[in-house]
Amino acid sequence: MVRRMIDLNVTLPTYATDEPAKRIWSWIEEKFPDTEGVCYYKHPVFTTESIISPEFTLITKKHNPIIICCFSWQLEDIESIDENFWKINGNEIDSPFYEAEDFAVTLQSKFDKHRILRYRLGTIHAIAFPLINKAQFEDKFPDKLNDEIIIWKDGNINPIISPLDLELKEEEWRTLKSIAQGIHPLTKGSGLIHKDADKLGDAIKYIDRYIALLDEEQAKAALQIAPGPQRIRGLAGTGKTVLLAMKAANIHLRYPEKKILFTFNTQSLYNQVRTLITKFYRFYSEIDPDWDNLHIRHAWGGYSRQGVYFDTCMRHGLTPIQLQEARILDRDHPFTACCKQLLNKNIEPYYDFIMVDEAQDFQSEYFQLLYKLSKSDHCIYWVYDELQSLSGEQIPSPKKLFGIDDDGNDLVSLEGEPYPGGIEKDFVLHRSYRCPHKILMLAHAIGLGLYSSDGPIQILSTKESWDSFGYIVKEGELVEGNEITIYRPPENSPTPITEIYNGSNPEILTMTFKGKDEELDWIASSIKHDIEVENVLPEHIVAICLDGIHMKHYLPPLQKKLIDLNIRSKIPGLGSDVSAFGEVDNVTLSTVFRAKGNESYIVYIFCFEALYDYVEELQNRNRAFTAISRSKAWVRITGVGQGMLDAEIEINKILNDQPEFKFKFPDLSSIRNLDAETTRRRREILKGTESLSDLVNLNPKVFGELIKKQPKLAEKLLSQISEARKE
Amino acid sequence: MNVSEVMSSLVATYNEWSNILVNTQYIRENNSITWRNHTPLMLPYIMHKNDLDLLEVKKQYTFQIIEDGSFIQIFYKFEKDNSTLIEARLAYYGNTPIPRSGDEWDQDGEDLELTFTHDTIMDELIDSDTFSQNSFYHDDFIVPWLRIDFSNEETECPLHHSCHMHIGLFGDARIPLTVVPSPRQFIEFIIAHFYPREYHLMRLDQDGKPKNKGQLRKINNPSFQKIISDNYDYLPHLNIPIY
Repeated sequence: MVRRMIDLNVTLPTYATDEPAKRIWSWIEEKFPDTEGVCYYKHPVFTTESIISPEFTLITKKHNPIIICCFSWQLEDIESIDENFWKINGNEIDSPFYEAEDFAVTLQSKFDKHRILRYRLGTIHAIAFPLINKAQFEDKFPDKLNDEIIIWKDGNINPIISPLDLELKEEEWRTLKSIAQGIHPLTKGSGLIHKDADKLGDAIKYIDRYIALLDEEQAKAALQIAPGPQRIRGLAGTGKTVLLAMKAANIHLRYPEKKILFTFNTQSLYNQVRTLITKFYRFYSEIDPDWDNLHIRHAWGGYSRQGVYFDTCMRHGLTPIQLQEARILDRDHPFTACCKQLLNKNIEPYYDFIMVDEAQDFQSEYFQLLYKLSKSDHCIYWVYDELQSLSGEQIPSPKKLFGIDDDGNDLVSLEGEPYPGGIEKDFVLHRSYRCPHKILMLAHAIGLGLYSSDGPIQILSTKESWDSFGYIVKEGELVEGNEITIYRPPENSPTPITEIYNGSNPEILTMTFKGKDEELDWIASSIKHDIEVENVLPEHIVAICLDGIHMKHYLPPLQKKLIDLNIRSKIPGLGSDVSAFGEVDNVTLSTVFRAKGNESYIVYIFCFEALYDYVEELQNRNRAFTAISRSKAWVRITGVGQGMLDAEIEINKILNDQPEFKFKFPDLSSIRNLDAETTRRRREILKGTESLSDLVNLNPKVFGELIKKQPKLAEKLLSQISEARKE
Repeated sequence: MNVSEVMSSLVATYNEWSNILVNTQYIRENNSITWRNHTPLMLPYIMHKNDLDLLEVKKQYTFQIIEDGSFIQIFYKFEKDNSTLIEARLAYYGNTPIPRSGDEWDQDGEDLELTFTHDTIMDELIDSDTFSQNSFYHDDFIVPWLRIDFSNEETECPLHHSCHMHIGLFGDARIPLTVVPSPRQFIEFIIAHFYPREYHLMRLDQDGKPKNKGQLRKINNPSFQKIISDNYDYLPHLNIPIY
């Protein structure tokens, strides 16, 4: 899809009332030549002499980059002009020309660092006085202007249009966009223009760099600073931790004195987050982040590890609850007990901004605690992995998470208009980058059982649900018995593989073997081939055993076979969570559980016959979904016996219909509906069933007492039952 | 035994027990049998889960056990002649958190010997979502370990025999051993006593008797020589069989 418009990315809500800037943008939007480009409002944040951003940073494919600083002065506001200082309304300020130039020079230096852009661009800096007439200015201040580029009241923007001799090539354009976003630090390797790769290993080298650029949706999510709560959600592989880290770094750059909290659930995320934030921060700053103001904190913590709960206890002079006591209070969720303890106390607001990663792993008590810890604007940004597995633990509403106030109003609402400046309250990231199009569709189809011989075993039953997964319902009403066609637009799973790789390895490969030994032998030798012939690094290969119960029987022999072929491998997480996935020089051998949240270029999934083996079909399919969706590029599925043969048939049916799903819509009452509404109702019914059962099973004498003591409730119950019966 | 024999013993043992020994890192480095990037770590007598995490993260082990992720360390250092043993260190760190006051134990009515501390508790802990959540667990759980040390400085002190075993929680206790175990002897010892089910499957018949007595004896061949000492005459100690 070729875009010929410039996309505006507003990062601060001040845009809504920034009339001069809005005027400038309207001129740019109207008069700038047709071209693909991005215009940022108040981004990037430069830490030069002071911390400000130009109003606009405009980059396009065909022109030199432009920095524009806007001023809302009237002519009478400007008292005097001097080379270094201007007097505005009695105050002396730095020459706006020099400030704009500072920005331009800094930005240009970032471009120059990259060979691919060196000598290609000349960043222009411009000042805008949208309320001042040029002639009148020159009258008042004769001979003060030389060849500065200025946009005046007449709206003539020609001075900023500086076409390049040669339009930027795709690679150059992507690099330019990366730098403007501030995400270029992620890219690995110094390779320049990518060549067509016919070896897996060579293709892999280029894929990472390709993905390191944020798309427009992600750039908005990452760079905007919402003046209140904001939710960001997307499928696994939409890069949310990276986005959140970027957000934290950007906020810290802009507001170095403010208190920022970045909190999360998985211990092992700490280092990754700290590295990311530092990298993003250092892109525009000479020094490291101030960790006294930017807190990266695990939710709980302990005496040897910082955490939100512990910190809060310390700050309020409270003794933290020990684990044993917490488990007594709440056996399944001891951390919730700790949060409840704090919620009963008077908690002082402490943080100006709070970022919550892995929100799906937390109970609402933690959110309520974070709400109390946040200052009055409650700038809490939380990130949801929409379906790490398919069994939708559907996303709780903000009301469920944060609760209500004394008047019964929701403390946090994402309803209504976006924030000023068009900043969204509720972001859905549609594009999944990890998984190539074909592989993600396969994962979904297997997970839902769309092509299983008995039909789907779980389903999304509304168009909106499918949309949030990145699919369009093309044909058919979502009603039982109807033939449905669902389509996934290719842009929702950008797949650089097909552009980069032109070798003979198929994206998806399936094989059936007669016995386990044969299967494991094949995998070991295929891995050997990947490493020795296709130049793949061992750490880019993962083998996942679909059969979690018997993994102890299969992973060690596979490891031994690899050792016999001189290939090192690691089985991570045998007793704890701290071990790394994808260790350098090692192939990773894993269960589905351990693979969750991780990804790899080449994924072998073996014991795939386990898909049909056991009673728990739902769990099996969810596991298969998780396993398949770990892959960033290639998937090899193997198994033994009839089970695997059946799986191959199902997989082939799925692949034949791509990029569509064609199936008969199932009877919703007999399968698991993944819709939010239905899941909620199902849960409520479960809860109600428990209560009803408790009531019915009461001792008759006790029951009698109860009815006597609560006549009104008893009446209500009776009438509700007869109403329901009528229906 | 010389260094090559020790290495062969180690490799052969891995080959035999490769169904439960995983993530191998053994290497021969000049006159030593050790593991990759061996770095001495000061570990406390009372070890917690946290300390095991350190072993894992720093990769300071020779093997892990697939059952529960426990660690085995195997270290031998020889003189330049490669036949005179100077130092040895054989350790087992059990990744089996010792639970509090009984309520975690879920025996399922199975034989105590066969379930011991591993399967049920670890499975439950690993699968539970809360397991990974917080360092509380790590700080809380004590883990069992034992370590056999050898250094060829002879002493006549019965409390400090040149080859002795430390047992976690028992501070300075050094239980004398008559011989420095070979890798095979040590690993067999660990598996037999701490993973009895696997040992049973491999070595014993239905009635718990050795499937092949001759084979079991040969596990002790080759072995190091008996350490000559009067210490054995004074206090109970551990006898390592020699073939």
